[in-house]
Amino acid sequence: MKPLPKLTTNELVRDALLAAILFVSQVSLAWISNVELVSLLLILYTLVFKKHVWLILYVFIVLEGLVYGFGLWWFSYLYVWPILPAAVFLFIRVTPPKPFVISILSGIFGMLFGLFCALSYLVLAGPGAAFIWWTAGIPFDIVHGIGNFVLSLILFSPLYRLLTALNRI
Amino acid sequence: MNKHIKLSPLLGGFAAIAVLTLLLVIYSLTRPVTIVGTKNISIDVAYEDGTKEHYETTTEAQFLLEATESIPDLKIEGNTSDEFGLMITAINGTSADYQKDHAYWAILLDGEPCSYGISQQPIKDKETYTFQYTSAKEEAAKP
Repeated sequence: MKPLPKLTTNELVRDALLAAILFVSQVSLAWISNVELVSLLLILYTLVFKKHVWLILYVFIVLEGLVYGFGLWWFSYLYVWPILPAAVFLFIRVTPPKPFVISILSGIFGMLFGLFCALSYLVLAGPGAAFIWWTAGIPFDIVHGIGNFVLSLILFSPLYRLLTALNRI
Repeated sequence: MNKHIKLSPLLGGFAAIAVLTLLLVIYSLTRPVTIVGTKNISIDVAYEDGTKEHYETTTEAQFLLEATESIPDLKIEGNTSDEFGLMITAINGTSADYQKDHAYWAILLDGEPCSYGISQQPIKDKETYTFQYTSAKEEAAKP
């Protein structure tokens, strides 16, 4: 059996710090409905720190549950947020990636966020309830998508340069 | 063969516009349709022990929440979110908070579950709404 890759102390501390930054970014923007930096940071972490994003992401999700409670929304986070790093691994093959492409990816993810979350309602409450839940939130999904697009367009390049420089240290 | 799909700006842009258009179309087809004018509606509150209270109101309101606000004896409390409006946690002092009581206030329109929450449920003349105390155990026991 292949042994599990070991984390160095540096990597462990770095990943913990990145998870904390992810969580703080979510909390600090929580007062603006459906505007968040988590999507952009997850894309950046995936591009710069590759598979470490999974550890960072699940630490973030556990922190969210510990602070806000383990409601149904939390269980949907377990599979909704990982879609974004998976999409980056699948679609983004150019280094450095074009900010517009990243913004498009982030925007589409934001617009489909409610649909992805509704899948948990599909299992628990049936297709009718899931559909109603999703459609009621469509205006907020659109705001989410536009917010993601704009924030990524503005912040992707400087943050990408910063993180790649930090990763070289 | 390259197994990875490259997201080009043009393809991505088209995909984003397609998703946005689809969302707008679905929302325009499914959003609650309100009616302007005077409505007479009945509201029942059915408590856990089987007791009921009955209210009637004449209102210009377009949504159920506004209609309930015109009834002085009906006190509805809850938490408000931008996305779903008021999430009811107590009616006339009787708590049905899912987190604490493992129960919730179901909203029924003419005996059938409503499609929207109290803030988004459009009302029509001569409708009868019921706020039904529903425990999670009762819900789970349904076939």
